[in-house]
Amino acid sequence: MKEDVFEQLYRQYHPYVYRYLMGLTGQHHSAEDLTQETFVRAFSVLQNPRDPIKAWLLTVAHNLYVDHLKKWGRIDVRDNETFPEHHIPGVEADVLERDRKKRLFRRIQELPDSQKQALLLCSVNGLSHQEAATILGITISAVTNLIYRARKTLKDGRDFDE
Amino acid sequence: MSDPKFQEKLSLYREGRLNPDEAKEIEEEIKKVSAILDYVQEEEIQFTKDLSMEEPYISPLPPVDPKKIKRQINLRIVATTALTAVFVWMALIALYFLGSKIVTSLFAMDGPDAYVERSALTQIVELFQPDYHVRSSHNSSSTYARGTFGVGYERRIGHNAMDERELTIEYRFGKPKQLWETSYRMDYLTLDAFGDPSDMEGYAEESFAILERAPSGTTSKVFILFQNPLTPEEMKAQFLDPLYPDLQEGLVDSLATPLVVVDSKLVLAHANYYDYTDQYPFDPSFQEQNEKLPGLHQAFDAYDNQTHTDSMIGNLHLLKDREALLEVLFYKDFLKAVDLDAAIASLEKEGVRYFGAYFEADTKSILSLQSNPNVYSMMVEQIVLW
Repeated sequence: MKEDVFEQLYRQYHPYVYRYLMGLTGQHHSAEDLTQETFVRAFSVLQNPRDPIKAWLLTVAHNLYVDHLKKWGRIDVRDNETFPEHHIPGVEADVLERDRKKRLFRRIQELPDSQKQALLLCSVNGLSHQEAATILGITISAVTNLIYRARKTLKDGRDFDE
Repeated sequence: MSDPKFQEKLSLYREGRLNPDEAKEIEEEIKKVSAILDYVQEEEIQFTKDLSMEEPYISPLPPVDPKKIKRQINLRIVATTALTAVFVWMALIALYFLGSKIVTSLFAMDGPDAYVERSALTQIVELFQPDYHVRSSHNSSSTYARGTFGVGYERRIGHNAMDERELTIEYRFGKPKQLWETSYRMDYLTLDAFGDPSDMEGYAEESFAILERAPSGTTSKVFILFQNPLTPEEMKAQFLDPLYPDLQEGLVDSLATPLVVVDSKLVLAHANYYDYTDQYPFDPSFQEQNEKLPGLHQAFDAYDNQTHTDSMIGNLHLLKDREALLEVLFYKDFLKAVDLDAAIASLEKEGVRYFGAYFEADTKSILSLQSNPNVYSMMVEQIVLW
């Protein structure tokens, strides 16, 4: 049976919304719940979004995350949930790669919220600085600045690890 | 690159004003800067690519079935629509009542005005229905400055209510608009309704014969047409005193109803004008009028000529002031068919005179009027046992 428009949109944009919320919450379950809620809320509103769908969905996701934070406070990241231990015996390179990703993810989690949001919107989800500025309610130069500072922090941390 | 000398040289290079050595030097610098930019851009692309492909950013599980999400969306839409509908409905109701409150406070009659209007309606019914008396009156208010005024009136002989009627008038924005007929339409009487006096000769003898045959102890209601119009004092002396010799003052009003012809056409009962309240009686400014009322009532009951004349003039002024109400009760331009000003002028000049009256009395005592030369004609309306 042919997929309807909603199903197409859901499959197309789910990864972006999930990525953003995963980056913010650091928990798969919270990210997945908020992703579902993002789609429900976004498509429950009977209106034509003015922004491109991706930016519109990320705006809804961002607002949901802000509400989530107000309600539940900062989320405690549990490594074992974020990186479920898939045991792959005898593959040492994979273990090293997992360890590298784990450190990078933790460093991203440790970034200040505003830097994290700007980085996730632009670098991970590929939004323009203009779109990210609209979602975050700040200026474009502020977004540029936040991303620069986030990347510098991540780079310094990577150099330190090496 | 932010070196001012370099910036200056770059500008000169753009304008082609550098010598070959200097131009070569600048071109070398530009190559270096381009290489740095390429490096940074490459690093940016790689970083972005790496980051977006990082494991935590890819859901470890397949996304939830879109159909399930769609069901949630549909449920949410239904719930939101229902809530919105309830909210809009409640808001409309609130708006309706708020609007009503504002409109009512601006345009509806307030309590004192309603009191006076109700009194006027009662008085008009008494004036236009000679053989009926008002039993009750009521008024109520509704939304958007609407309200009703009603009067219940009845024909009563002795202790028997022979007929009961009710009329209700709808008011909008403080003005009478529509008559609700719960029984039948109140009518007005003209002199024609009493027939040609020449045709009524002999009625008196027949009527007295009926009363003679009636058992003792019964109560009768009769209409007597006078030989000549009588002043109130004449009517009292010739009819009321013989009929009600022992009656306490104030009760005659309910047993005898004198009739007046207005402008040679319209027949009105003379209801005591001082029963009508043209001003809210609890208003302090009405105090002086209130103090005079007992005396006026006493004089009216005593059938004082001047008091009756003033009372009738007051009634005609009341009709003049209630043109809209009379139009609703009867027909448009009702008052234009009757020259009330001329009638008032005539009353002021000649005083009130009655051409006939309804009497309710002991059947046998009415027989005492047989020898009264002023009984031109008589009609027995009803005889009741008690």
